[in-house]
Amino acid sequence: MLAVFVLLSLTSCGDDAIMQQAMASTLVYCSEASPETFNPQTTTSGSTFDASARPLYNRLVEFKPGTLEVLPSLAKTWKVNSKGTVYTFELRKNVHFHTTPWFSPTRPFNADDVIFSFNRQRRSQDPFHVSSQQDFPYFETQGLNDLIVDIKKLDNYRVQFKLSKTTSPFLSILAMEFASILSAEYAEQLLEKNAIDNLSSKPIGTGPFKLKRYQPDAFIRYEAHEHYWKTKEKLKHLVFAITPDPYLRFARLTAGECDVMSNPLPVHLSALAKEDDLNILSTPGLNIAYWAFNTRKPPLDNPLVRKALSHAVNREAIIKAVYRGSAEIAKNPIPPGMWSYNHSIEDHEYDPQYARNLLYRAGYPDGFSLDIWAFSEQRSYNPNSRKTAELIQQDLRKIGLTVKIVNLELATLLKKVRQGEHKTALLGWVADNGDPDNFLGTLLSCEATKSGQNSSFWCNEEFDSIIKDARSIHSKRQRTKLYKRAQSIFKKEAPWMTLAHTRQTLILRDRVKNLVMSPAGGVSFSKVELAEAKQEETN
Amino acid sequence: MNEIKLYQETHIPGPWEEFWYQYKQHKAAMVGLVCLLIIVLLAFIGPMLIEHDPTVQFSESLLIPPAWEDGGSRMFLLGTDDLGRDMLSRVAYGSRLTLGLAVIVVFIATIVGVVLGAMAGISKGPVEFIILRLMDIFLAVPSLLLAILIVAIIGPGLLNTIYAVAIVLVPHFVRIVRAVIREELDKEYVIAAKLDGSSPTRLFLISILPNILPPLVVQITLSFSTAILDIAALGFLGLGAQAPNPEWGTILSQSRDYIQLAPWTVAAPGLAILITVLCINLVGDGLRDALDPRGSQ
Amino acid sequence: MLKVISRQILVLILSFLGITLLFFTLTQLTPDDSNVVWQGHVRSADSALAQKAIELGVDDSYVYQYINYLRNILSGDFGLSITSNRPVLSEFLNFIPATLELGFFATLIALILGIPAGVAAATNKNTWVDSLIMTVTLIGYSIPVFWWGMLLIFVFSLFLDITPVAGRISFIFDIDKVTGFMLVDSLLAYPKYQLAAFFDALKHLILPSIVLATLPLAVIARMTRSAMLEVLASEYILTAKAKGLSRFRIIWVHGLRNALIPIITVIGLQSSILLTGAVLTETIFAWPGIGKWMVEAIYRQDYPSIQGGILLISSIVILINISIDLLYAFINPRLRKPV
Repeated sequence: MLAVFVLLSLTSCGDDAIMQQAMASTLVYCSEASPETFNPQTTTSGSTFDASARPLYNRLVEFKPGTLEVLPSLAKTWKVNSKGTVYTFELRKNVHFHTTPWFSPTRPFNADDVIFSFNRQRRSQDPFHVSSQQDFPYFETQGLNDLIVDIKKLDNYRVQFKLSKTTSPFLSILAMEFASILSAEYAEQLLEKNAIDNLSSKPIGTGPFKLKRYQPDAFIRYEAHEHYWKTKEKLKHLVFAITPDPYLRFARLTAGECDVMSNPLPVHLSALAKEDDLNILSTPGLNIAYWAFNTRKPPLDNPLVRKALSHAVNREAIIKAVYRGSAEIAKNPIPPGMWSYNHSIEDHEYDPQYARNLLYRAGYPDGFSLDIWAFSEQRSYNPNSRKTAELIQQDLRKIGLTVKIVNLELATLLKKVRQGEHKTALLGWVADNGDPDNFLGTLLSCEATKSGQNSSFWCNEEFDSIIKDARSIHSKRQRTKLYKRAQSIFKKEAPWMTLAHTRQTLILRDRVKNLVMSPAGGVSFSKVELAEAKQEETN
Repeated sequence: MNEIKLYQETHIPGPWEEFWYQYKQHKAAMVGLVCLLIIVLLAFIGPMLIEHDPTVQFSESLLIPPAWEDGGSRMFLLGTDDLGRDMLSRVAYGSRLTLGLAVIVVFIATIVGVVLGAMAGISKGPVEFIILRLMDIFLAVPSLLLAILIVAIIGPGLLNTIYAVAIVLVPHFVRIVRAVIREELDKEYVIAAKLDGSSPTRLFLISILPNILPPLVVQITLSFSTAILDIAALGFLGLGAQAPNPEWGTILSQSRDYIQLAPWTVAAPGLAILITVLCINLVGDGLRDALDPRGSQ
Repeated sequence: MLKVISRQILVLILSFLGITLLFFTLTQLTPDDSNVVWQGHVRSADSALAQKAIELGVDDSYVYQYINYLRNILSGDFGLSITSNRPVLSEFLNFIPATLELGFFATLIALILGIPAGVAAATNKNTWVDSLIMTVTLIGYSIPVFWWGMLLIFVFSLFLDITPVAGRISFIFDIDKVTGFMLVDSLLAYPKYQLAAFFDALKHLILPSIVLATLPLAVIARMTRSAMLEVLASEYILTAKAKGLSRFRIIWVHGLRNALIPIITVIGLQSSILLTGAVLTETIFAWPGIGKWMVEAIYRQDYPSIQGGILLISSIVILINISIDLLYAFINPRLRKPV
């Protein structure tokens, strides 16, 4: 103990001014997970997008901060032909890629970069596609392989996309993270050096920040991009402190070791009253937490069984114990804040007796045994999936089912789910754009069973044709009608038990200004400022 | 009928009596023994005295503090966890689980360890060599990592925890048993028995086993505390007993999220582990001193 | 002397063979395609060899596969980590300095406090000093490491707010990774941060090293006590007393020097205990060392990392044991034989 105090008194010799200065120019964000990669093309994970797409890259078009309205970004303007199948983008000039120890650009951004970024994902014979040996999950689930017929370079600053059919959400799709623009020049250099994997570990983009240093499972450090095409960032240094344990994240925040904390536990919010220099930033999230039933595995192929399970679970108790009230019960696969949400759907009420009846009718009077896969990390749509599983386990015991909980790390769980190894799994989804197709099409279409993104492997012809139709119409009114019908089919078939829509929440320190949350989830530190530190004694 | 004592009899204590006499001298060890007995007793009857089931969730009473704190309830003496489960009941049932697991683990490790150790000690040559090198390998891997590795391969769960921790404990038994056997084999009374034509089995059972017992007993107590700590550590890392099993380490890993807001959910299971292991170690110390009078002088 | 070394090297080789064989057998037990699962990828060189093997008709031969596997490992190729896609060896080298730094400080604390405590207990045998030290060390012996860590964080970091919560250094410092040892690297950043970064790194070391030191400290203190008791009862100490040497000299010079021999053996054994403790300590304090790396690898079912990591860790343990044996032979005159 004596040693402790000696050390502590020594620390006061450390130069406070230097500490203050370093602190004033650095924003520390306590994030919940290590990114899988810095290449947003090859991932679907929200925390990876936070660390890659948003700080490091730009897209042709982007969402206006805090909304899902599409604005020009790397594309200055665009024209669409009358049928809505040809998009011509006019690109911005004098946009510079990052200069880093591993790459110095010789030319500004141009049409080649756009073509490279899309063809890499699109064309299986593209040398960059072949060499990567990776999947491009988003590109595939969005059906872009079939949709995009051709991408043409008209001149250095004009690119034309030809589509096979009218697709109304196309611009919103281009604003999504996986459509980030990478440097073609850099990729060519890497291909020559046979080091194409560096695209995911040593990223080069046009975004507001560039990567400085990355220590997996510890931190990511970014620096402001000095030649950023928009106004230069006020923030000089940005650090993601990777802290998967929520309690540690909260402890670091209250101890002043970080400025912003992602995914606080609901219980932390109630403790905030005591801390006067912390603020809560919260918006209703466009997300859903659900319990997916693998409809390829009996008895879950029987809709009666799936319905029985939905009726057997007391979701109100889950909202109370796991979400601590920061969520609402979900009845549809899309969140209520999204257009075409069907308010008239009748929810599966908690009714164990009825659930037992359904099981009886389905031919399982004695019940059966079931696995629930839960993940060990915390996600914005589910703060504690293990606890959720425990609560479900208890509820199902009441209707005579024996349930085994399998805990996996999320990345592992998702990998196995995509291969259809699960019986049931607790999952969730956060919107990437404001379009209902991003939920209904991405997660429930027949096409998505191929990639396994449709974790129920549920393929209903009627539902699928409605989704396809809705995609090809421009009129929002007609699309709304179709999506509402799709939602009622969903409810009848119950491939998931819809669990909850959560509020998106961040906790931040007073000095952080201008942080805006996207309704689609995710954090972007572009434009954020740090207020002058108050002259207070920090030990 | 009265027994008439004709002679001034000096009472010479038997080995057990002698042992007990020595053990009683050791005050701390007596405290440990009493405390351990209480814990075992509690593990047996405790759950019967507690009204709540450890897995029942009182959804109206989440994170209630212990009864003596503000906002506490007499219904939940040690408060509740984040799902509204009674902490007292979870810790009490957890004692059954943790102690039970530890007993099984130590039992398996002892049997396997003694058999392998005896094989290594009695037979010389390749058998001994193989067994000893195998144990060297196991000893070279840090114990918890070895357990984690085994669990990683066979999957987490209660049963697999038992195997993993037992395997970790075996090498220590093997070494001790072999060492004692080696020492004894060179002693004259064993050589005499050998010359008399005793079979190796008989030699082991009659001549050697009684001499192994004292160090073995000490090793068993030590292993018992190691087993509890390792089982809890595996549970804490999420690789041991799975929820909603009220294993102490598993409870701790789950309540860690609430350490700032509900410290009691962390304190209770942690203290339970500490006290149990402490008592076992006290008993172990006492046993060692009592069985090895050389060390106590 | 030569004999001792050669015997130890034999142990090392055998253990190495044994561990690799163990892992190799395990790869055969795992249900998935072992090559892919355990080595993360199929090497092109391998597939050429495999082709040859098929031609020779030894495709199924475990012996062949084992030799191939050994050859890879001996050339430092432990495969690629599934999660980071980087060679396991470079991952290991990336994480080991943090653990060594923590382990070094923990050992230092354990020695600086443990040996004097043991001596004090021995020289004050059966007094309150002895009882106090024995009780405290017994608690240190019995406390679950992870709970102890949480307790210290709760009290010192959250409640009293005098130590950092977790990690190796504050995130505001941008420290170039030169040696991987944060104390050294933060000093190398002197032009940028002067001593601020260094002291910050030191502060981050306090709680984790205390937690990690607890068990070895208890073991060393108890070992020192019993070794000292034995020494103090020996005749040459009595002689020294009779000669009228000062109590201080008797205890600290003549007594301790001889008691050190068994103590050093115990310290050697601590390397394994330390690494076990490191797994939990690093998890609690988000300390990016090999312990945490191993736990993460297991959560992610990153088998190439698990395999390579454990193999490397056990090699280190064996090497430490060998050097301790050598040291022991060096300082213990009884083991030296006339040449």
